[in-house]
Order: sequence, then C-alpha cells, then structure tokens
Amino acid sequence: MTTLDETIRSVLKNQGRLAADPETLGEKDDLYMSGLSSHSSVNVMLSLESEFDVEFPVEMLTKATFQSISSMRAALEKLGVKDSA
Amino acid sequence: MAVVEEEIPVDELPRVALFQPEPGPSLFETLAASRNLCQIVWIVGWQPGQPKAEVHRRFGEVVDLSGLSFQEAVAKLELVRPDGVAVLSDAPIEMAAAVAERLNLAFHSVETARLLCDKMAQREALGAAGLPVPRFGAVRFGNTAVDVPFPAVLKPRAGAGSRDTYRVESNDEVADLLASCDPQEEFILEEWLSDSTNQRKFAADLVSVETIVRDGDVRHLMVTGRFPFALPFRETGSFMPSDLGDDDKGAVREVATSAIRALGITNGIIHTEVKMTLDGARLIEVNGRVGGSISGLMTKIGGPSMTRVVLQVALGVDVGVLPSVTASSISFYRLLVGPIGATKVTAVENLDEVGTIPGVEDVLMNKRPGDEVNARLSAFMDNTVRVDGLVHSYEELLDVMERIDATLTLSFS
Repeated sequence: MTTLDETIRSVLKNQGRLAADPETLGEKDDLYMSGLSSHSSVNVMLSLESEFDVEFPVEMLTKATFQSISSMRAALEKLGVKDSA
Repeated sequence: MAVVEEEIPVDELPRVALFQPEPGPSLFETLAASRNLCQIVWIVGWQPGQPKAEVHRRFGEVVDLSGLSFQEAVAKLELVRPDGVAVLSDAPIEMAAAVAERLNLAFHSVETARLLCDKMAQREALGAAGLPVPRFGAVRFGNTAVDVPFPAVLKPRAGAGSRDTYRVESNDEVADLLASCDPQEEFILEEWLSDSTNQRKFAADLVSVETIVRDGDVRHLMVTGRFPFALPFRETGSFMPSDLGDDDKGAVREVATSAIRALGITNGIIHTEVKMTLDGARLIEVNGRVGGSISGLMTKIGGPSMTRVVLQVALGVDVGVLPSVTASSISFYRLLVGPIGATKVTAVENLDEVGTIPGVEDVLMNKRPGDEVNARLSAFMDNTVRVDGLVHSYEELLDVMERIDATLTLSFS
C-alpha cells in the first residue's frame, strides 16, 4: 500500500516542477527553495485533493501548507487522511 | 482572549470581478484577502499565458475572455453584474474602467484609465496641470526625432516592471534599440533626471508611494525604497519603509497628491513613482494599481493586506482603521537576475546558505539550470532567485544584501 509520503512525493513529481527529484528531498526541506512556484503549488493542491478525495478549506490554503512534505502531510492528516505506513 | 471571526457563507458575500494577473499574488493570497469580504469572480483569458480556467473553477465563478475583442469582453462582463471590479496590474485597467462605467461601480473613470495606461498621454496631462515633468516625446522604429536632451530613458509607451527600458546616451543608441524591438510598438523617450547627491549605498534614488483614493479622499500609506537597478534598467527589489527622512517623504507624498488630482483619480489604489533629484522630489509616473509585491512587504511589517484593500475599494467600502505598521521593522524582497546578454541559467548554488542568513525568511528559485533568461523582460517575470525577509535597521539591511551577494552563486551562458 502506498504511504502518505509516497503519494505526496508522487504528486510533487508530476505537478511540482521542482529542480530536484522529490524522492531525494527531506520531509522538512523547503519546497519553494527547490523551485515550487505559486502556480505549481495550486496544481499540487488540486492533485492532492483528487488523490485523497478531500477539500482544503480556505484557511488551509496558505503558502505554509505546501512548504514541505511534512507540512502537507500534517494538513492532510488534519483533514482526516490516514497514513498507511 | 483570541477573537474567532465568524465565517460568513460565501454565497452571501458581494461579488468582485478580479483580473488576476500572472505573475501576481498567488491564488492562495487572493483567497485569504477576500475571506469574509467578498466572493471572487475570476476574470481569465485577458492576457496570454494565463493558467487555465479549470484551476480557478475550484475557487469560484470564472469568466473566460479568451478570444474576445475589447468590446465583446466588456459586454460579457457587464452581464456578469459584479458588485465591484478590481485589477492588480496595468493591462486590464481600461477594460475594468469600461465595465465599471456601465455598471456605475467605484473605479477609475474611462478617461483616467486612459491616462494611467498611456505614459505619453499621462505626461501630457500632468504637464498641462502645471506639474514639473521631464521632457519627453514619442518615438518608434524609424522615427526618433524628438526634442529630448541626453542622457534619456527609453521605455514602452504602455508597459510595466521596467520591461524593455534603457538609459540611452544618443539618438543612434535609440535607433539601434528600437531596431531590436517590435517595430509596431510605440516608446517614449524621456529626459533623464539626475540622481540626488544624497547617494545611499544600498538604495536607488527612486521611491514609490501607495495611496488609497476613495470618493476623492487621498490617503497615503507608505513610501517604499528601491534597491539599485540592474542594467539595462531592471528593478531588483524594494524595501519598506524607505530610508528617506521625514521631510523627503513629505515631499514625495505631496508630489503624489498633486499627480492624483491632476489625473482626476477619485477611486482606486495608486502606485506613484517619484525620483529624488538635485531639484527635489520629481514625479516619474502614476500607476492605477498596487505596486508589484507591495502587499507582501506591507503585511510583513504589520500593515494591511493590500490585496484586501484593493477588494474593499472595489466594493466602495471604507477600509477603516488600518493596522499600524511596526516602525522598527524593514521588510524587503530582492530579485536576482542574470547579466545583459545572458540567455540561459547554468548553475544556481548555495541557496540553502542564503536561507540561513539572519533576516532572510524566504528563498524562491524561479529559474533552474537550463531555463532561459532575457534581460529585456521585467525582473518580476525573469528573476532567477527571489529572496524575501525582514530586518530591524538599514545597517542590517545593507549587511544582508552584501551577504546574499557574497553567498549566492548564479552562473549564466
């Protein structure tokens, strides 16, 4: 079964347009420093919503939510997504 | 005790038609600014290269203007019947003004919008009102005969962000530059205003002031400083507040007020550029929207979200008492660009180290090795790295700038 982190990294690979391979990033690495743009972060958000069948409320739609793999995982867990790890 | 703001159902809020630009504030920032104030009607398709409408649909109503003429677009927007119209860039100002006029909404009049978007017409109007403006004239490929002394500044008649802007020393140089530009595009040649003798190590002599105008009432918010320009004439960032003394800031506000009156501006957010010269504060130009990245600078020092203020003014509501700004903090952003002639990024090194410099809060890599660069574009569009941060003195600001330059290695071919 795919873990939460694996899915997030897969979404980043497809939508993040990062300079580095998401597989090589630490969970707290700053994704904006790796090339995540505001436009790409919206695409990442939409893709995560689709993957996990959730909807980010407006108050969670901030730059900080998509700053790192761990911040995205925390936001998804807050929305009730369970990690299979 | 913390006060929790009650959430108002979105469909009970008034609707503001917003021309969201790319680049511009992120969708997330705009949504946060609209919270409990209005629903955003996203106007898309009015500029090339905009994100697809599907992205915006997740966040509300979308009106796509792709493929429509100016008149068709205005007619379509009139049918949408928003409660306000708002812009965050120059390009849609005239269209928004036409819609506002038809629906009797608070915005620039159609005539004021024309003066805000056409740099030539604006200077003529300012000169006619008796304001001191640099000597200027319209030039284009094959026609450069105007009575403007050199050195001078060559810039597009309609443009923003220092795109295709050059300091020029001779008529031959003007002719050469125009030969390399779109032959259909009109430019203005404008007298170069000498720098003030009060040269500061980290700042250009150009400053800007943001102003809220509501029913003719002029309220200046903040004077913002600029970092020195990169060749040929590219912006490299700003810091807020400007380090000018109180008298100079007063002079800047006075110049901006006179210009706002001269252009007949009665409603809107205005970004006025003023140069400090040997003869005092001199007007460069007036823009009918909030300045690029100003909102972020403002909120970082405790001021209001300018995007929210834009939406409030669009709705004709009083912006009320704005948060007071922390006088002891200075926010900044730096845009790191390639040299003239560079075409491609070959390396971006030591970004992580830049992120550890005290005062630096955000580091954005906007170009990666292999990406193309073009010094003719605005630095807002074409910067390789952007650094944002907050410091507590101008000495610290200078130190942070020097450390960024000493740490970051950008290579280009």
